[in-house]
Amino acid sequence: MKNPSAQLRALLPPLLFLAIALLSWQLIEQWLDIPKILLPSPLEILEGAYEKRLQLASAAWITARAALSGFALALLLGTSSALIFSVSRIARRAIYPYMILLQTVPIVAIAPLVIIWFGGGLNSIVAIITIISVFPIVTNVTTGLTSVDPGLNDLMTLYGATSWQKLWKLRLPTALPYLISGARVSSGLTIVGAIVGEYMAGYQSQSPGLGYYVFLASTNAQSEILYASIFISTMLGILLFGLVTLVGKTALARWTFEMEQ
Amino acid sequence: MTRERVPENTASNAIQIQDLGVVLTDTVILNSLSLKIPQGQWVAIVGPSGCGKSTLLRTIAGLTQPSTGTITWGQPSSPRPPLAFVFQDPTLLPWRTVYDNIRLPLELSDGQQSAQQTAIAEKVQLVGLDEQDMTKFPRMLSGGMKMRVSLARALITNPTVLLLDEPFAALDEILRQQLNEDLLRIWATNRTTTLMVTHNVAEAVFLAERILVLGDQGQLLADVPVPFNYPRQRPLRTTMRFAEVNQQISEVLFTESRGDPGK
Repeated sequence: MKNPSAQLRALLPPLLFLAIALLSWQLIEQWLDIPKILLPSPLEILEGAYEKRLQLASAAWITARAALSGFALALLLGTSSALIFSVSRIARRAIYPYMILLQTVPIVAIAPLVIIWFGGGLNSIVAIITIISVFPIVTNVTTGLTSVDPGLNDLMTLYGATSWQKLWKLRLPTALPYLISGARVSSGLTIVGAIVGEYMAGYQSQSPGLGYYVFLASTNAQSEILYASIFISTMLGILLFGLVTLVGKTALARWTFEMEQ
Repeated sequence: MTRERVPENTASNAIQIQDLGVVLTDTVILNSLSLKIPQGQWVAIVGPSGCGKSTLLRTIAGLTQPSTGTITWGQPSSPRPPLAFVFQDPTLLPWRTVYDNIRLPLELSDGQQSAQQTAIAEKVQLVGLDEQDMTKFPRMLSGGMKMRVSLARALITNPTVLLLDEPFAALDEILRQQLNEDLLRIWATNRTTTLMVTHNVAEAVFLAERILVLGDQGQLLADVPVPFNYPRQRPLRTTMRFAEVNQQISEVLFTESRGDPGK
């Protein structure tokens, strides 16, 4: 574990780079007098975001809520399908390959289909988020549940463990690190899903999310709002990823398993 | 063949193996093996790699199904008694503390909660661990300590038969000898019927009162009684007689592998 001053020293170069980049951006924009619609300056973005602060804050909350709902649903669906795949070899052989294939279908192409099925609004948005974020959980948890140490399995058999006891006391704990690494990948994808979903289906919502602001700002040529929305949604993604990582690290703290940074 | 030299034990047999055969994925691992192991005997099984000694132990434990033959416990109709298995790896659950790892067999058989704590503390002490070690996780333990935890877990059910599958193979020689002596001390407390697979002849001679030598095809080459009384101490290893028995066993193993070129 690094000490705090070393951590600060590690943070200094990227922060310094950010400050220089923002300052150059601001100065170049002013000197060359680039139209705001092409490239607003950092101050203009800040100003625009401040003016719309209430709407943007509400939008961020709406997006976060949709992302969390979709993520929760993905965790639930992903883990239960993985459980089915782990107990049924037939299901794993017959259906699992399609799960891998489905993963490669672009979400932007599926989104209109989902909107046809679920209509505009929150339902479609959550469905899109779930679709995009469920696959890493299914594949990771299935791998985890089926890669139990044979020696530990023998031990359980020797002491007469039932299938239920094996699942509860051996397979699920073995799968936990896999679930966490799957959830980490998924957490980043949920914001992608939320923005795509809101961009395409957010028009019916009473209170629109960030994705709908991206759509609005681009059609109304409000570049500073567009930039602010991009920035806030990125922050949301980082926040969710950080949260999942933190929960994961706490859960695995006492194990030998080390998570990749 | 030295098979006849083992006196017919008048005590009841703990395990009787009759014409045991094991075929795994079309390969014959064991072929019509018959054995009688009296109650309370310490038996070591030695043999070349891949001769089926681990398979024999796994079959006795019920982890591998025999293709032919029978294994009976005590009287012909007796059920399988509580037995314990110590694997080559410590096989500890990394997410459980030492205490919870040792408790696992009791938990799986719905043991009495109240009696557990003292029983576990007792076994922890017996295998030479400290009470403070009970709250530690496996990753905090050395290889030798993990093996001691594994042994404590095996002993927690007070098994009638203890099966050891090269439990100290991964440890260095000093630690191995130390654990050998601890194991003898533990065994002396209740003389549990013990079957130990090892590829270390000196370990077999030091621990066991009877050594079974298996050949390449899983056949019984020799059944040698070990002429030393218990308790056995470290100095035994340096005696002439110890070296002779060692030599005798090694010769059977060596002749077998030399007599079958290409193996």
